[in-house]
Amino acid sequence: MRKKKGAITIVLTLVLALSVFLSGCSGSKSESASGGSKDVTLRILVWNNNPEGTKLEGKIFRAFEKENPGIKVKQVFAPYDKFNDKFLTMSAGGDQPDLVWIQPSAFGQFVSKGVLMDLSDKKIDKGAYMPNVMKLGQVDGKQYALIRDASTFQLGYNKDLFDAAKVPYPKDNWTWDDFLDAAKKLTKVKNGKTVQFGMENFYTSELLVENGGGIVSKDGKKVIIDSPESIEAVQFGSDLINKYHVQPTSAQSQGLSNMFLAGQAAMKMMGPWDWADTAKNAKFKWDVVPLPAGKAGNVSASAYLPIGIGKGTEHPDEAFKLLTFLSSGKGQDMQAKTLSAVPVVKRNADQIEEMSNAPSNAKSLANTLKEGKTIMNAPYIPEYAEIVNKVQPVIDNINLKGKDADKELKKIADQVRSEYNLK
Amino acid sequence: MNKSRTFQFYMFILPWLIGFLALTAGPMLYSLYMSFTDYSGLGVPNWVGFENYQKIFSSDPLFWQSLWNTIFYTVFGVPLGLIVGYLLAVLLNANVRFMGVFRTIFYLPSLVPTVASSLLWIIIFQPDFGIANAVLSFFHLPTSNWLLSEQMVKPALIIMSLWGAGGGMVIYLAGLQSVPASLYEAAELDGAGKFRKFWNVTVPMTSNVIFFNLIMGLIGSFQIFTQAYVVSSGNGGPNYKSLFYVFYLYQDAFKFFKMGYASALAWILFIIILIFTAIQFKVFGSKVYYEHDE
Amino acid sequence: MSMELAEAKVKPAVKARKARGIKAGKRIERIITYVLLITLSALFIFPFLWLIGTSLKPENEAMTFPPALLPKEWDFANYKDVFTIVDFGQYYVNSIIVSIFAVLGTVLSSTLVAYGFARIKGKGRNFWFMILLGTMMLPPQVTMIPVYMIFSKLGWTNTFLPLIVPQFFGSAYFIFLLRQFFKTIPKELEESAFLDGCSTFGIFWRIILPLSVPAVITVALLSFMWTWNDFLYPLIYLNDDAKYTLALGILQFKGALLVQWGPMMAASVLVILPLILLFFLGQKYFIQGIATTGGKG
Repeated sequence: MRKKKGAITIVLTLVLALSVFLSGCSGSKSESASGGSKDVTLRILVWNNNPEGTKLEGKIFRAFEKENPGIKVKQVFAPYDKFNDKFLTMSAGGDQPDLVWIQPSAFGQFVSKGVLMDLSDKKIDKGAYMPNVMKLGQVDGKQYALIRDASTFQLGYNKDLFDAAKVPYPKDNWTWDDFLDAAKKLTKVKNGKTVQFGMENFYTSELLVENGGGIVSKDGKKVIIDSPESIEAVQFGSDLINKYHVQPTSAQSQGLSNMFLAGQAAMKMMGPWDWADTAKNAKFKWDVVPLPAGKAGNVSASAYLPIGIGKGTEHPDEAFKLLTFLSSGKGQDMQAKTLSAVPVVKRNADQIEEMSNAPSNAKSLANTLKEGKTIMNAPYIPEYAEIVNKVQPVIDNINLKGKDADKELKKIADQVRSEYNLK
Repeated sequence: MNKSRTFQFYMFILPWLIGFLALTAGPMLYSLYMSFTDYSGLGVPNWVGFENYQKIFSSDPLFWQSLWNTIFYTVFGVPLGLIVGYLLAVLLNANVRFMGVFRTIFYLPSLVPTVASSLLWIIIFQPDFGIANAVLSFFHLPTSNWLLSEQMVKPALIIMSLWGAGGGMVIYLAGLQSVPASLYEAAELDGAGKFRKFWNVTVPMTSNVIFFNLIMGLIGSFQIFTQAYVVSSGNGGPNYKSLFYVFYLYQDAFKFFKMGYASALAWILFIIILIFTAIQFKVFGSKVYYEHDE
Repeated sequence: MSMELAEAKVKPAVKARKARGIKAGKRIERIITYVLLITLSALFIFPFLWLIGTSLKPENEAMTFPPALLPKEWDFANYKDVFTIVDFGQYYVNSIIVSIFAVLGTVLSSTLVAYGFARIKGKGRNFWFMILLGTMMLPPQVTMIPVYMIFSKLGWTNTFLPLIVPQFFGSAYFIFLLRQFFKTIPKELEESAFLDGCSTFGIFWRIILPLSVPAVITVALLSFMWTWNDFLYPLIYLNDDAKYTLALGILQFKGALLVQWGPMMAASVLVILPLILLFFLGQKYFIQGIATTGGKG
């Protein structure tokens, strides 16, 4: 009896001793508290495109610290598809980061739940930004985030394959017809099997934008996935696969993310984030042009990074200083070279062409952005992510089984309307 | 005696009891409370009564779809997993050379991170050039789109899980070690053959671990999530046919910010698992061999 | 240890039978066993070979069709990347610290608690056992936030404590597993020890634990591997890069728009190599198969 009690006491003491030892050595206070010294530490929650990126971001933060003595910046990382797990637990635990990168699909939720600080009254140099950029951080006319990089998809193409098929290179003002024409000529079939495709994968979300369609209207009030423009866009995407066979079916492409790099697809959706990888690994000459025009012209969906300030921050002024530095200050002058991140301020539009690994027609990207030819396609309503999740399987089914876009989209549109009380 | 035994019992389970009261009970009750609110994971929860539960049962087709997917997976996957794991363990309990190497090899699939192994399975099940279809067409059997097929995606996921049967195997191996050799001796003297020894000695004497793997297999299978999440790129496709219950619950909680709703889903699942487990205890519990209790 | 004794006692009898031997039958059985083992091994080792193959492929080869098991050109750059781009060395240290303490905690507490549940008939035992099983039936996704709140209140976020301390309160899974083993140990052993004047704890420590070595080793191995491979809790609780564990380290290669398959596979290989070694060493303690009558004898 006595012996047993003794043993349990030992175990419990061990647990306690261990906890004291471990907490003692790793510092038990959360870092956002400023501790004894006057240094303020800001925490910013980020994801990454690759681990190098996380390191390079650090360079910009160090530059900020140099310019603002007394403020330290600490990055907290969470992978993109687990980002909300981390942010939600931190916030609920009263341990919210001071600044946070925001996934556009979650922006509406963050705002409606009052997680983000309203920046409308802050001093923002609105004139510095390229067109459309300010709006990307607004909900109902109020500014809840500033944008750090804004870019868009373009069409990347394999020059060698175009040469071999004697097809002229794509142009900046290409239309869907031009694109389809070339794609057909670039598709090669051998013994009944397609060995080379014209296009790797034309995302339906982009086709919708190029044709002036979408899932929900920009103000978030109307379901537009069954508009004539949307139906035409989805049908065109399905036809590329099921009618013209210039793009692989999902059965053919499953598990292959790099058909373009492998020289098995002549064209591909490409953003500046792909440049480094393509330059490093492509064994052929390549270049880019804006996405071909549907009914809405040579426009494409805006791909952007909003950064917000957590409402719970103890250092709102310092946090805003950092946000300004990143979205319009010196960070903007550094990021093209350091991070290969496309700047959002007018003064640096030309830097896009000088980014490392930039293809020769990188100017076309700068033009698209300068001329405001990017479209915001994710309305900031709280239910948006859920609605996309309902619509996507329908589009997948149209592409997979060649079902009639008109019929299927009308059905799902009505379902979404009644479920979410939309027009 | 009885009183002091009770005292001793509580002293032994004290570590767990403290942990339960300090770290587990509170959060469980908290989530139960959340299930009656519109909590989003952010901001303040508002009490909504039974609204979440009502919506789940009356107007959420994905609840029924994901529940059906999960039950299908459990009903076929768990027994298959039990049998395959057990047979592997029996095979790996033989006394042959290099057994350590073999055991390690069979356990390997359980070690490979899911992100990596899922990618491998995507390639194996690739309709155009994957190994699965190559084998089928070699035997002139009909091929399939596997992970892209509404009918075959769940069987494909069950096949994937069998390949990880080495996890259960380890526990069986430990169980097989505890079978006293004297019992085999006795059976041999009675003239029992291989099969009868296996059926009359090995199986009953390892029923303690078989039962364990059955219960835990059930609980785990009802909460299956990661593999399907990775092979369907997070959307449970095709057409929600691989959207398992906890997968849907996760989407609700962390993608759609409906933590209250997800909590209600979680408690419904809790009840379902509880019922299934109770049935297993009733049906099989009495057949498990234990040394006689006090 | 006494298991071995029991085994030694029966061995002469086995030997005697064998001497009379049905040798041909044994040989055939053996051949079948080997054939089965080798064929199945090929099936089970495939993922690992593929993992290694992919980790040695340059990026443009990583995802092409038809997929090749082996790279066209061997490229160790991915491995170099893993160590130069992220601080993998530090992650190793962190993973080792966390896993060792977690195993220590799990084994110490789970064996004690399991013994209570298996052998001491106290009032309320069935009730608490049901609760124990019940804690595993609620998906952890919905308790993640409140658990975080507790650790955050304690000021333990961004330390290893939330990953380690809970293990010292026992894991329901392992408690249940060990209970299953303890329940099969012959009662007489305990009774005679009791008559010899052993306390309950003495019985647990001197009789039950030594008889359960295979089970305890299994628990230690499994808990080590699970802690080692878990990324969710480290993700939630750790903020500093310098405190990351290996499993969390791997996730850094899964970017928002691009996955770097080569380095990710290389990292995966590096993460599981120690586990393979550990398993290979640990499995010996499942001891020679007593259940079989074949072998060198």
